[in-house]
Amino acid sequence: MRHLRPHPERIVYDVIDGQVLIIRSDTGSYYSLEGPAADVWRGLMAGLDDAELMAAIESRYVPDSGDLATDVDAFLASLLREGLVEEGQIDLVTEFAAAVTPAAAWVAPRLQSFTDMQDLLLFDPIHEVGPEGWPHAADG
Amino acid sequence: MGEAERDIRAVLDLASTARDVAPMHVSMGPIPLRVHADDARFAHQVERGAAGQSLDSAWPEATVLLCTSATLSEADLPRPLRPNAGDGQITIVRAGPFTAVAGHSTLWIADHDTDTVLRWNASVSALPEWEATRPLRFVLQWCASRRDAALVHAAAVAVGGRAALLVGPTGAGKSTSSLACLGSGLDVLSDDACLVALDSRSQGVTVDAVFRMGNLHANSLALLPRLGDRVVGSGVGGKDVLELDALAPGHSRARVSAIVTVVQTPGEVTRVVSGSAAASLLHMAPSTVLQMNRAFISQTWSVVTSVVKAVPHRELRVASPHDVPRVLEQLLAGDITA
Repeated sequence: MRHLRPHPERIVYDVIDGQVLIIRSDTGSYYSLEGPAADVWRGLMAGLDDAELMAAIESRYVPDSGDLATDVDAFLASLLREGLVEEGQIDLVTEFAAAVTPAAAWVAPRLQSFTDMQDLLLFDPIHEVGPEGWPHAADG
Repeated sequence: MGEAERDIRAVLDLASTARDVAPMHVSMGPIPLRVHADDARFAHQVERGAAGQSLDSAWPEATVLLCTSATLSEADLPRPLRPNAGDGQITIVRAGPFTAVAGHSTLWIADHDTDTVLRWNASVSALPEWEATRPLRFVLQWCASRRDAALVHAAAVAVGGRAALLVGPTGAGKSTSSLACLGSGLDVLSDDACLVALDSRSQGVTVDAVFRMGNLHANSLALLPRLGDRVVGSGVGGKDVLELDALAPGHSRARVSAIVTVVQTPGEVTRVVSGSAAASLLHMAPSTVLQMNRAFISQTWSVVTSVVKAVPHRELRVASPHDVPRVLEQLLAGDITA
């Protein structure tokens, strides 16, 4: 029973008009999710585990082509690969509304990524100094 | 008290001698600043770049110390806080009441307890060039982060107390569209960065001009030759620097009526059509969060998303920048309800 949650330190995100915008602050990449992809993300925000997430998605969509479970697994793998989620329970769950009727036609969820601002961060890598990083003696 | 906090406090104590210099009082929009500079050229840059005071300002005054090695030598700085121009790395330290950011030859330290910010550069020549026309962005970000406000990456034009925020990807024409409104009867509050604030009483959003100058590429200026008289110098990347309109009292704050995504559509008719909140967020949030100081990401993100949810959204389809003032004036007068 695996739970995935939005990465608490790397990203900021919000859902507006059913679309999700995610910004990864350490790399400068940002992502837009729509339709099924946004629903999968909202399912993760609701604290659903893999099985619950699949059940929720299956109640919302009609898989007229392709394999819904395979598509969702591949999408979750892409979220993990991009470092947008990690394994663990989300601290603050948000509501994932009951299934809509009629169910919508299934389209494989897609992670739309933008990298046009990465150059800014590659030029200015951030180094956040914690207590362990503070030197005991400064160079003279 | 940890070592980092103690070391930062020692730096601020050393820098406090800059307070012996008579202060200059200046406002960047609603934010009043008491500026002590150990080099008069710093004070001149701030005075030249600040938009002036917005009416109805209720923000507390912040003290800003602008120091060079005349006040504080680099050897006085703890090693992690020495801004090295060569390594291109930005260091962020949070310790006790302090937020310190070092990079681009500049050290910033904000003291939350005393509303004081230190900016240190070895010399005037070590100051990043964007500080000349857009000074004290760190101070604005820090002040905004302590209230429901944010310095956002958007142009802003206003008329009759109603404003449109112009957003879009790089090259979409935010600066050109906003600066095309200079001298048209609309107030140009910003061509690139402005301060937005959530008004808890009205549930609305206000925008304030904070910078006096705008920047325009030469090819955009060629499209708007009448602006040639307003050019007062050159700025970042060789862009021409122009004075904005938001200099008169009452003309530097407005209520945000719409967030407008700018799209170039040559060959069409310039017009406003309906937009979406998602498009506005996509075009305003990443550049706001990533291009500006990243010590305040979570607070800035929260304000930006709240602003996007609070106002209507439109798309400005620009065939020619000359049409923009008329179309935006119609939008802000309520004649366009797309």
